[in-house]
Amino acid sequence: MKHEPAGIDDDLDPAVEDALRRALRPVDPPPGFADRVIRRASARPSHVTAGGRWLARLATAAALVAAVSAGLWYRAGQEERRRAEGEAAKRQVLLSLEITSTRLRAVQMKINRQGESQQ
Amino acid sequence: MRSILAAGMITLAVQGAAFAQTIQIPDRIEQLAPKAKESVNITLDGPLLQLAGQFMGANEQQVKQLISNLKAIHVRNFEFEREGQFSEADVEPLRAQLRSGWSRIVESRDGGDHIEIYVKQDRQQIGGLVIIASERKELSIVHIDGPIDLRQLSLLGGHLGIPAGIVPNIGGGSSRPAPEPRTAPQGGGKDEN
Repeated sequence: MKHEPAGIDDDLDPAVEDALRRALRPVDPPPGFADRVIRRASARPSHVTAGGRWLARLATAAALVAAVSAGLWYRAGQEERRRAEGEAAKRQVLLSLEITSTRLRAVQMKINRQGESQQ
Repeated sequence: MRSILAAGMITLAVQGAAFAQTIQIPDRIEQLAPKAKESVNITLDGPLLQLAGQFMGANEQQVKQLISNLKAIHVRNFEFEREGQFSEADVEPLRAQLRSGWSRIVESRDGGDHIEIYVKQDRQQIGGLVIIASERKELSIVHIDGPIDLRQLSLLGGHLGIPAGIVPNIGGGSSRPAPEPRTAPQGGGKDEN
């Protein structure tokens, strides 16, 4: 199966044209080339898949562990912040009521004193 | 078009009335903090009060119930090194806000001490409480916004040092009404100073 390159410019030097024709002529592959290519192509992926699968599983597991850990850490932090806020708010409520009660008690004592003096 | 305008005006009027009922701690009060030897500044809004309620222990369930319906608690307490660090003029903007919609139920003057208790009536219950207590070197402002059961507050006696029997006979309470030596007229809260 021979093919001649076509479309070479007529103004080209005949020597160059010949050289080009020789260089560009189709060459059949050596015998067994196709078989070797097919053999290699089928052999290489199986070798990569064995290690690749293991690495992919490891990477997936690591990513999963990292994601779950990050989620748990974030949630624990949020819970801790919420607890701290809640405890602070509780202390403030108790302090507010303490101040309120102190003032109310002061009023009551004055009222009682004046009530007693009126009697 | 007219109905839309009328509806808008009614909405604005209602919002204005609601806003008028909201007490703001005046800037003059806030500006006392740097002068004070010790100060307490507490502002708790509804969500924070609810959060605080979740952290109340078994022996604080009465407090939890007391604050469950409150909208906010504001407390400002200042202790000063010397006398004359604040004046009546600092408190006056707060009193001005209390002239509308609030009733002064107790006023007590004793030497340099002056304590006033105001309540806001909301239907058949107390919708808010304000205490203004000034001494020579100390000023306390307490504003509890929201329906507060004063009987419940009195039941806290012994828990937080809140005395039983202080509760005025307002809102249909069955607790002992406190005798009031210098009770201001109800409904107007006019300052008689």
